Amino acid sequence: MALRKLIGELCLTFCIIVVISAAPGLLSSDTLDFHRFYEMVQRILYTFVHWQDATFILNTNEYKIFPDVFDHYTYMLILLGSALACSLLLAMILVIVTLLLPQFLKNAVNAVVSMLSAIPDVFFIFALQLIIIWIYRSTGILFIDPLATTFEPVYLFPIIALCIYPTLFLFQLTLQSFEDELTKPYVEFAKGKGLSYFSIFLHHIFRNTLLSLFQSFKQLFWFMLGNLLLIEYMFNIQGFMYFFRTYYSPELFAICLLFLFLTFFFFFYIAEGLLASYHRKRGLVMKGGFYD
Amino acid sequence: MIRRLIRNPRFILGFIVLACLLISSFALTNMTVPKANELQYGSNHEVTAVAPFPPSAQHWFGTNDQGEDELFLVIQGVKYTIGYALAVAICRLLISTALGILYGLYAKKSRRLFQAFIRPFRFIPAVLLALIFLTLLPGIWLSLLVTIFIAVPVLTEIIGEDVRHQLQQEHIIPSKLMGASRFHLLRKHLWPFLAPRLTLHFLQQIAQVLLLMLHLGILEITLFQTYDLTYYISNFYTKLMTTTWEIYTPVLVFFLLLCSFQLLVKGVESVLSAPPLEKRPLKVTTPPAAQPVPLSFKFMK
Repeated sequence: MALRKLIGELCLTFCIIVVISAAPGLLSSDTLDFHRFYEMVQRILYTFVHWQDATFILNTNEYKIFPDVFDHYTYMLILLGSALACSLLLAMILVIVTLLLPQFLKNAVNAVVSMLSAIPDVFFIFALQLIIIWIYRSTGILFIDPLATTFEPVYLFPIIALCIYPTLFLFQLTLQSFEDELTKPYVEFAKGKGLSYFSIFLHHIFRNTLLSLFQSFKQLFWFMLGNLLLIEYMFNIQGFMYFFRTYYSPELFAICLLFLFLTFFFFFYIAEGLLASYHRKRGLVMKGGFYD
Repeated sequence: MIRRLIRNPRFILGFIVLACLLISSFALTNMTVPKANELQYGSNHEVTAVAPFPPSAQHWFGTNDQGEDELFLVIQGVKYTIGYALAVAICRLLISTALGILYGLYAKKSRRLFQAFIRPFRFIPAVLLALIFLTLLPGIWLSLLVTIFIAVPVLTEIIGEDVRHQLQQEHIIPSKLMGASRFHLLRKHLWPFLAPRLTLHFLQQIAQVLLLMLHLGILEITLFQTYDLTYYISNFYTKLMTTTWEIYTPVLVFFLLLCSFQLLVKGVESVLSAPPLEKRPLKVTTPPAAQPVPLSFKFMK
């Protein structure tokens, strides 16, 4: 029963993806053009059925999308995954260090972080770009070729640029939930039993706040995808988003959206299933899940 | 709530910065742009410099390639940007509040359906959607429509879930049992709870629209054909390498704008999350002691 519902919802989401990617056809002329819309839907569905033959056009030549697109796709996944892992790690270290600080320093750190998080991410990317140019001018090492015309995976700077905002966001969230958790009686009990600070952290507080952290990941993922588009544009990396932007066609856009959706779905579905089973084992009821 | 907002330092700071920007922008509307000659000559009438000029004593933020003062132009453009963001945020909020209340009141079995419907908007970045739609279909009205409707599904769900959650509170049930109509519930129970949240959503939406405009500006899409901030940012990439000051100025002003809205949001958030002020103790008025009524009879011994 649950499976059937899940499949039904997936089908609905799939339909909406098709509609969204065909929608420019509907609005292209002054009046609503249903005929063109219908044609586009047909073309998109045709592409999905014959996905091996999907092509994109470059200088009047047609090239096949598959399997080249998988290179771009894995590159995007590596960027997103490592940026997320980096920011989680950084945020955790920062939070633990911050909690060990005296109160007035804690307040200072809080104020600085909330000020930094008000700065839009684009300005960080902008600053990074200026840094890259400065490094090039002073040492002659070029990390990212701003005039590159082919796809070359670059890792360091895009990951740095991607993980700035998530780090700040996760830091604030974690600090808040850790401080809430620290006031609970079981922490006092654990301290009274003589457990060390770090073991309480790792074994109890971290696990208990993991769920609330995880639920913010969806928003972060959405945010990072948008950021990735900008980073690819500003650093001139021919990545996944850039690929679909430059060789735009409705079919390609639909494929792009489907890829994003599948990534999103599998990552969150599997992770949430694991978390839910873990919590059930410990006798906790999980609420507000994505697919519960 | 307003009285407490005025006492909040963050809110006040954001408000002052925003007011300064807006007032100066409106004040400069009809003034002519201070202009330097496009060519500067040396003592022997040879050309020593060509506009755009870097920052100097006369033009603190440099000039553009017609010799016009960059800061002046940018400040003039601020009002269009804010106006656009305001208009979009108001439309977004109106539409999604109406839909959200409907969703909260009536959606029971269709909830999952609706959630499945908006799921794509939770993972497709707004910039990507706006980019695809606006590169294909330029035009002011269409860009307005697209920027409005990109955020409506998610915002509707947020408001709708709020409404639904509030309608399941314990104090609502007796009210329902006593025969309160839906309109009564909305007016008496929901609105006092929803109104402050909507203010918060409103400010957040403005900040989001501004961010979206900035992103689209960097991707070289101007939403409307006036000389607003995004117009100055949109030639970003080519200018970054050569005349960097032409980028600094609009970016700096945009930064100020976004920061002031973030401050407003933070201020409202802290006021909303703070515990309500202790109400002044009610004056207990004791009724005047009853006058002894003269007896109309006498006790006899």
